[in-house]
Amino acid sequence: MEITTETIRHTAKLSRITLSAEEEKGMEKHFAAMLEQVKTLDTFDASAVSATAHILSSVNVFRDDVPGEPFDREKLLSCAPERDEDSYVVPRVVE
Amino acid sequence: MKDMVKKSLAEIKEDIAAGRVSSVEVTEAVLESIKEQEDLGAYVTVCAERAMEEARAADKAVAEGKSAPLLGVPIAVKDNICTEGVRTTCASKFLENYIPPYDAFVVKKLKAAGAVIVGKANMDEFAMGSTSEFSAYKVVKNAVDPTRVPGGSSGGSAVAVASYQAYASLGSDTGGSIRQPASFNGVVGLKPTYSAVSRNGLVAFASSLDQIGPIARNVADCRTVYDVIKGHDAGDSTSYAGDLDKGADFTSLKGRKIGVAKEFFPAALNATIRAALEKAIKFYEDNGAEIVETSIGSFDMALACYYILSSAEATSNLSRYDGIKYGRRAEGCKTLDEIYYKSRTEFFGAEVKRRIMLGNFVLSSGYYDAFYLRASKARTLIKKDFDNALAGCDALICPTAPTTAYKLGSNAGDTTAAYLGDVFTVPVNIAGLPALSVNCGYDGDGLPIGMQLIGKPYCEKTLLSLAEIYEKGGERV
Repeated sequence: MEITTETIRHTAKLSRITLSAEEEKGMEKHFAAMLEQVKTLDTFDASAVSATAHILSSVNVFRDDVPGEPFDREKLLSCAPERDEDSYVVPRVVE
Repeated sequence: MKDMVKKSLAEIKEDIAAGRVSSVEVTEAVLESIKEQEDLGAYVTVCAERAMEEARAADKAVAEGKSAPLLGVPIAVKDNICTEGVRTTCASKFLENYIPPYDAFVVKKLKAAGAVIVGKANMDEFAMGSTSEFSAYKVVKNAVDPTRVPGGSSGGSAVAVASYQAYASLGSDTGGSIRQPASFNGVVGLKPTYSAVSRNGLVAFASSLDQIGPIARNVADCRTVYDVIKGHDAGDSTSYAGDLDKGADFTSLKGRKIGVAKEFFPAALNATIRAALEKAIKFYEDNGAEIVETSIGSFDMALACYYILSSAEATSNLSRYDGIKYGRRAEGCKTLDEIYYKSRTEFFGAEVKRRIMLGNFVLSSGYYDAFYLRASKARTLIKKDFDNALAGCDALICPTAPTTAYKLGSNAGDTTAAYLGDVFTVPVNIAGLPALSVNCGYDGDGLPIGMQLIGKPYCEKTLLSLAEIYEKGGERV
């Protein structure tokens, strides 16, 4: 398959990343090289094989609710990119 | 002071415990070594004050007659492992000022074992890379030859240990990131079985492949750190609660079988590396092990499989960096979209953007079946091949990397060249197996060659025993 500028732009949108024209060209070249490598995966009959999403054979285990120490509020708030006293500051999203 | 930093972890631990030297003196010596070798770029953050506090606490514990596996010993921790109160940047501008509100499970374990954490080791941004040149702060240089790459992504962790800036370190390995830098710097690196060491507090790259492990200057020290950090953790839903010691401790090779899979020795393999490995194989055979030929038929698919799966998982994991929750936010943004776009564009480096882009591509509508699903199916075949090969032997032996350390900047302009260097390490992560890299010689330029031992799940003991026997008696090229 051919990688077009449109494919790169669509993928950049999905990634929430802005690329310059030069970066778009570089990304096209990178994608093309990767797709060339990926051809090695065309060598088996995929219809006969089940997918492995995870290597472990274990299944989900539910644990009892155990009361514990919550994170320190001030420590968590100190991670906020922008804050106003006890709140995270975010732009208005509802008009 | 200079000699002190060159002692092994076991020796310095014993010196501290016996009162021959204090942890404060040892920590000062290591901090001095770090300062003198700043140019190697091994650390993003050095925690001198905290380390001295921890060293004083260790000395107090020794005076009170207490003992612990790492009491008073300076250790480095890769900068993608959370340390409460000490910034954890992942070598990314995005997390430049991120100070985690908690310690990773392994850091809690290190602290409980009395370790002194001297600093946060430099790396490729978000652990994406094989040369540690993708750090957003400074390039890491090889400890043996500073004009060359140290390997990656745990380049800082390996260099810190190899250049006496720590007695051991923690790294993380998603596709070879502990083993390959260990190989390039002539030290020992262990990638444990997936789920044997908790990932709680490890900044996620590719969650089905990531694993924390130790790097040390010899096999025994590597074992000591592994024994400290392994174990079940309710805080990691993939953490294994069963028997983690399915392997065996042994000092004789009689009755041991070592597998050689032909795919790990391609015709084009560097002749010096081949010769070093052949010599190591002969050592095992001469000392009583049986060498068995085996095969990983799906080997050729592993690299493509890895780059699809790891990029897909990375794109999902890194969607959390949105300029809202933690990390940095670009300035002057008025809308939510502006925050997303500007923060991610400004603070992610080029390699991270390539992985996110590729990941979104292989997961996107119309391409999912052809790429992601197909790679997930290839993973089934690769795992099955390893299961079959390991059914007939205790471990597989192969080179850790197809080259020794190459010159810094060698891959400039070719975004996929370094990926090929992961060819012998990525299959192990795909199959979730334990593997260890130990030095087995030097090339014509004096650069270390690494040999990789790949084991059965939870058989780290077997790998450590095999490596230790070799380390004590193996002839180098």
